[in-house]
Amino acid sequence: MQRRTYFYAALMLTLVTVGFLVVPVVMSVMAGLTKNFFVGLKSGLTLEWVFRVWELYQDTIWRSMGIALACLAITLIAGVPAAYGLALSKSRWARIFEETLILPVAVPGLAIALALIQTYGGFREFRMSWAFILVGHVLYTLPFMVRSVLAVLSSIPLNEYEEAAASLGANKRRRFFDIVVPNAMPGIMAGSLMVVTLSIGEFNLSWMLHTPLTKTLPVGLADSYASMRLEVASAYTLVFFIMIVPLLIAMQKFGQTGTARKPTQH
Amino acid sequence: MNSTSSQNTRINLRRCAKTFGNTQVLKPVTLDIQAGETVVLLGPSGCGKTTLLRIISGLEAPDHGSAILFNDEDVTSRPIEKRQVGMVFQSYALFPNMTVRQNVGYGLTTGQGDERLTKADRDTRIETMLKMMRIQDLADRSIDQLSGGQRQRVALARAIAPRPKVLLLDEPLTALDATLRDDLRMEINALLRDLGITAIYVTHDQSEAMALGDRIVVMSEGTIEQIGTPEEIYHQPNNMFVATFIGATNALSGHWGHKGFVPRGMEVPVAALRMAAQGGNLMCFRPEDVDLIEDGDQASGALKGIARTIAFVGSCHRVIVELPGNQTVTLESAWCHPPHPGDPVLFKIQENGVLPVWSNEA
Amino acid sequence: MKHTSHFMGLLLLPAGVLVLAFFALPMVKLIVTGASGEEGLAAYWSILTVERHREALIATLLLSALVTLVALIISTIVGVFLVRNRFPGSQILVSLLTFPLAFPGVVIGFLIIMLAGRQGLIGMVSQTLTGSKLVFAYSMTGLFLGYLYFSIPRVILTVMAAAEKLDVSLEEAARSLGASQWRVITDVLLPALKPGLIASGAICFATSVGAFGTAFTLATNIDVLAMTIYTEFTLGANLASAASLSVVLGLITWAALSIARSLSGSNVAAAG
Repeated sequence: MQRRTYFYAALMLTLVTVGFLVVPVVMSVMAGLTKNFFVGLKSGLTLEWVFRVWELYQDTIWRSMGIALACLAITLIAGVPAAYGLALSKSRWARIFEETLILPVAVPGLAIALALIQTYGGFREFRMSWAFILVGHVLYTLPFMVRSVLAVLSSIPLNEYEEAAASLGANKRRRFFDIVVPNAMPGIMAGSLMVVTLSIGEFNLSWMLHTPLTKTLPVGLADSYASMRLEVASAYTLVFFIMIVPLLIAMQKFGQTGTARKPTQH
Repeated sequence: MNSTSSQNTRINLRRCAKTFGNTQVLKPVTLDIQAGETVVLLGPSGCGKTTLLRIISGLEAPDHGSAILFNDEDVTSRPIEKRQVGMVFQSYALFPNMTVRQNVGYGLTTGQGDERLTKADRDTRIETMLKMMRIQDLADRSIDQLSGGQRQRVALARAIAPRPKVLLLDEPLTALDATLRDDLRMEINALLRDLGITAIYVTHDQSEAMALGDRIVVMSEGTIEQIGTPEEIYHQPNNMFVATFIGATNALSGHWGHKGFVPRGMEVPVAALRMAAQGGNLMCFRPEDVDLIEDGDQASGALKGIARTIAFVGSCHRVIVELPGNQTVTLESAWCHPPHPGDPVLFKIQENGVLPVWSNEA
Repeated sequence: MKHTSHFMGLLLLPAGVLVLAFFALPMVKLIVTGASGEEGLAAYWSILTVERHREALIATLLLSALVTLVALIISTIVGVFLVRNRFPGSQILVSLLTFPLAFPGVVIGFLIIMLAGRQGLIGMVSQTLTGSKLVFAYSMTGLFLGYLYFSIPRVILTVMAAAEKLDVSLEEAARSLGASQWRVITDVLLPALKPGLIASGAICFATSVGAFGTAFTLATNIDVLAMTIYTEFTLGANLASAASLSVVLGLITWAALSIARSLSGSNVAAAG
């Protein structure tokens, strides 16, 4: 009897929690598709707000995608070799290097952004371009790529595979591309998804680093929340959800195979 | 098997040593391996056998002053990928991102050695290897679908496919269970004879060493204790370590008098002086090198004890006998009427049974 | 496989250059700038001596601690419940609970407005029921809900991962020894979950302390540390003060995460 009570109490709490997380999302989606949210659904459904968002903010969408892909490219080029190097070395210096690499995740974006503005804000061209935002995103996402790849590489007998490949005549280059990269693939995939997801949703750094001409999607979102009517803001949020949800689904799939680390940012 | 035999390679090691940090894990080793010979490096873990193998392969660089010659060519400074060695690892180290066929063919794509193979050549070679190791049916499987024994075959096929100068095997059977191990041991033996390839085989298992080696190199604590054929190692061990590491050995303590060896607690010598390399205060013999005296005939030089534990081991009985002076020995013999615990046992050490080793251990 | 240090250097070079040039160097500059104001090094004490800063710090720490506590309680119950009870639809509930994981803080702020803002659900419901509109999105309560929103998914994931590894036979043993349901929870379940709870609690705390987007969306006049820094920087144009405050903020989050890492012994990385 008592166990039933516990079961239903816990189930209730679970449902309330799910409701707390899901209801606002549903409301937001509805608001973005309703003619007049204040009047309610009876005012009719429309794509008008979505089109308005497209008109007003499509540059932020393209820019965010571009930055995310550039960020992915850089984190792949810098992160995969670094993870490989860290997997190979057991030295103290490698561990210190790893810690330093991870550090940007432990420091609030606001602090990193201030530091970047102070150090490089004087370079006008750089400061005014989207590359300035990209730098922030790379710093913030690189640890996730390195960790993700490193986790996979540390879980396989990488050294033996490499020795075997070497005994079969493969040089360093061949070993990296034939053995290391294919076997690190689950980590590279999970890391890539995370990098793209995090970059598209990154706000703290982007808000500080952007200029009126280099707004990203979340910056545009904050802008619309402050200055646009609720329907437009909701429609814009809906666009963001549409971009991010496939990535999240893919990430959950990877998460089930146990290689992905969970992203965080607020 | 002409299609797979490689040119025979003679290997000479000249004062090969290895130091990690401050410890010299391998004292300078000089060893000559004939072309086509199978040499087994045998010893307990930590004896330096794997280090020696890794030095020969090129995975470890030996200390300064060491030299490794393949057919008189100095390869000491050559990295492993340029040495043309085939290697079989204890854990197989098959590439999980490749199929069986891709694994076997990998060494043909790296362009090592002088051979330039066309795609057709490679495919033919891979097929030959798969057939030889009887794994054609597994060709397109991925590695995680294979059993331990199958993995071992793939690892062997992969190692010999590029026709290496020497085949290096690092405890290749350790990860398998006992029956499979025996089967594969025989298969590897046949394979090595067929290929006629120079092979170096590392193991800690003396029966594996006996079965496979043309010669056995017994190692302990970074040095070579003895090099010899399995028969030499077994019957003429150089020292106490080899005698006890290879096969079972009884060691009786006592003293060598002028008429022979007198075990502790006995008055009469049990082994004649001429039989052994005498010295020290021990006498060693193999459990099977005894003659039983079952008719109660008291012969001179016989030992008498009490049976304590009796076990039937298939071909014979193994009996642990307690001797006067609180010593026990193990005997293996075909008893007509095996003793029961507590029964007296009378036996004589065979004339050639005393091992030529001695020790001053008490 | 032996690799030369030359080769290792080559592998680590691109990441090393990035982190050195765009993180290490700027952070050093930030620390120096923090001490470059009129008060010099004493700027680092302003967080305690200047009343506005001190209050923001206290509010931030209290809010984060409360969020952490509530998130841990809810997530532990829900997480263990979902691991122990598989029923039709439970997998969907798990998905729904973990989806908001990568929502940025701004979006979460907006979702809280949808829930408790001027046109929010709670306002509408309360108006129909009581006649007066309940609006609390733009206050500390709203911020609390927002932080809870992004904390719950993360803690639930950790709890579920830990709960799945739990040895059920331990609980069965406790029960066979006559322990009540409550005793099983306090004596077996919670101790087993403890490392995961401490780790995710620390992440949750660090993330809340450093969070900016949610507060930014909800209101500019809620005084949490992140908002204070932002105000100092944009409105006050007080670079030294903003710098010193963000160094302190960074130290707090870094310390919380270091504790989490040393206690859980592995992969935790968070903040933002």
